[in-house]
Amino acid sequence: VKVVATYSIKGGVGKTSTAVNLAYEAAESGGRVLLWDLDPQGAATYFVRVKPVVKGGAAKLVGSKGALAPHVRATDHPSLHLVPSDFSLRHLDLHLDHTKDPRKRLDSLLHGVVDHYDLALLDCPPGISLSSEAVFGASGVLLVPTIPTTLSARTLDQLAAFLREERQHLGRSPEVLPFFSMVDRRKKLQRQLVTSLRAERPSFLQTEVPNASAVERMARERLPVAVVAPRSAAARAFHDLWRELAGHLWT
Amino acid sequence: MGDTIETFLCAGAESAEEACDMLVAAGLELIRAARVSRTVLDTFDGRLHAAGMRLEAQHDRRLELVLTQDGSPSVRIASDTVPRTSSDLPSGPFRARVAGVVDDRALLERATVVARHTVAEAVDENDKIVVRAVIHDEISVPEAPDVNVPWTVEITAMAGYPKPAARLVGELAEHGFSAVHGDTMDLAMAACGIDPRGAPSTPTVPLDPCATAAEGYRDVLAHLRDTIVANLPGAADDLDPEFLHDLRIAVRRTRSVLAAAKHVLPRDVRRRFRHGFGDLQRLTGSPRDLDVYVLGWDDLVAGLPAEVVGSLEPVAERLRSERARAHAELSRALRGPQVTALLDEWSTYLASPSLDPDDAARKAADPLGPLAADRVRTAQKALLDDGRAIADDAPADELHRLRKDAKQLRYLVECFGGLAPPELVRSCTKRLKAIQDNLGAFQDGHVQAELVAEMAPVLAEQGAPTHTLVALGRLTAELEQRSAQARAEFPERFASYDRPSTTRRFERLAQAMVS
Repeated sequence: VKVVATYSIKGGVGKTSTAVNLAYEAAESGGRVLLWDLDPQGAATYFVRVKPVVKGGAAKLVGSKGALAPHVRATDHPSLHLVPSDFSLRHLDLHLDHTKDPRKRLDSLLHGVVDHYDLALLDCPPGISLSSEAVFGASGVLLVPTIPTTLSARTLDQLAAFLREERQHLGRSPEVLPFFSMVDRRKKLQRQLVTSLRAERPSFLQTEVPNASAVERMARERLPVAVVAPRSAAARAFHDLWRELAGHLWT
Repeated sequence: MGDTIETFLCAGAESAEEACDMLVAAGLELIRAARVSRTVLDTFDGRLHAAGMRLEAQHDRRLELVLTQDGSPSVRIASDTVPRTSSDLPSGPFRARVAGVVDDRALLERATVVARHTVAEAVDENDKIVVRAVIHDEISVPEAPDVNVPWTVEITAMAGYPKPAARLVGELAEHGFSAVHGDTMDLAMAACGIDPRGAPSTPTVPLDPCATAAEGYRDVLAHLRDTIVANLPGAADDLDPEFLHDLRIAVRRTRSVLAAAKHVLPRDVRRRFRHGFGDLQRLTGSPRDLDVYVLGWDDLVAGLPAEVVGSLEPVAERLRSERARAHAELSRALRGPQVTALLDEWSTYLASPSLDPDDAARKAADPLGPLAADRVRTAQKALLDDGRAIADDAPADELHRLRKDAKQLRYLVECFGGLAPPELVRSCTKRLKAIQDNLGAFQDGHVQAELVAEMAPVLAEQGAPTHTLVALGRLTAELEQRSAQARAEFPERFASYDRPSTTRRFERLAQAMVS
């Protein structure tokens, strides 16, 4: 199984919409996908119409006797499953800290289900915390939605510095694949920043996801963009983003 | 982790329409009804089935490919065409899963079922589907119009939502429905006598050590004949390289068993059919060699620098065109009168009363077990004697003869393996395989180097660029090097075979064949 986390230190950059839409695109293209909602807000859970309930709470989910399988829920797409979130995940750091090897706990939980999925997508809350480190320990790729702003470069630098430390600690760290998210091409400054950041950081994926009303309609309809607005620029962008990521993962 | 599907048959006289009413009464909503054509795709030898997978081409309003596997979510993708090989599938995890199981085997249409699917679903307060029921009725099998397949209801318990499905299953039971093993496709295939396991690839047939040698040899040879006949159309159509490979192996095994049938089958019969199957083997030799060169090109040129491999493209192109020509010739020959007559005469002979022990050779009436054991002992002794006689400077022919000895023994062990415990057969063939791999690497490298060297003047005459001819020289040297390496490893490989433990194991096998 390939493990990809949609992650950013910053909030409100489009992590959840990316996770949900990529999960849908991956399932549509023939993948068996497990979307794991790690954000206590449970937005990804909401988008796929699953009840935001983690039976036994986060303590049971990540505790030493915990397992992922009992928490897996089918969605309305046959090959897309979800591990839902609820508000108990706000204490995820605390519960992880009680485990033997907190940085590897999410990885070991995923190991219990790897035979059944081709892709596990982890939708992460913002910030850097113990649960972020556990995400880094479990993921092969960190997909980082990046709004083209002046502060974005600084945030990416912070992440890179943190991962360097992690590499020393864990012996490995995930590959970081940033991409431009919520892009408004009408703004000259954003266009300039896209160009300059691409020049500075070749790891940026080519696909840009626009700031579009179709993404907002997702919340109302509780469906992926490809279903609510299949011909929209946002739907095309998520489709292209998946193609680009899949090419990276499976070649 | 996957959704669980249960299938129910109606024991009473209720119709599919009444079942619809029952589902609605149970709180489900009818979503759609459509005629759906489902075709199961699998390899000739049922590899997907053996891996617990099923690949279907489903045609409703559009063509979709559906991949299911025990315990995993089912996957559905739109497709423009029905794939013939895994490489026809779009790249990504779907293709990777199928290709990982089927390798280069063709995907054949194993069974097609057409039915009306009436889909009903129940949702929870979030408008999320929690249980799905599909009524399959008006079922027909285009290939077998007379076959009657009963209508069914399939209940899908979504992962994480067992209760709504359990409630519905309870309701069905109350209405006289009974659960059956498998789904509608399984029922249809069973009704048509289609074995989802595909054609068996093992040469081993169940054998009775107390049966006469003539009966045992007939069972083994008839099974090999069935394998030849089953693989012949796929080899003639070049559906995938394994048809030709399996055909050749079955022919070789037939010749080996005939060679070991002295005093069991009449001499003229052995001679005539060994000769006939020898012709068939020669017919298939060149196309198979070219399959190995063309389809295994990457392995052939492995170890050479990229620019050398690039310069060899005219060689690869020539091999591809030779392969196409050889297969066209083979196709004609396999469908031609000579091969047809050989197989007809062979089948007639195997079914003829002349195999009766009274009329056959002098050991035909002996019990099979001791005779087969004796033949295995003789073949093992020949292998050891010939192997021990090979000096460091022995000519290549001696190693080629040893390779034939090893094949003869391997085929005897496999073909008469039905007389012994399978684990003992596996253990003996595993030891043999180690020495066969070494001898194969030596001979293949040697033969390939010769073939490649012979191509050089032909290509030069055709005006191939100098860098191609230089690259051809590099390839020849590489192949000779591989062959030399295998030759250097031979003494150690043979020594690890020629041990008391191997002898004891083969003796145990021989004794097991007797009892």
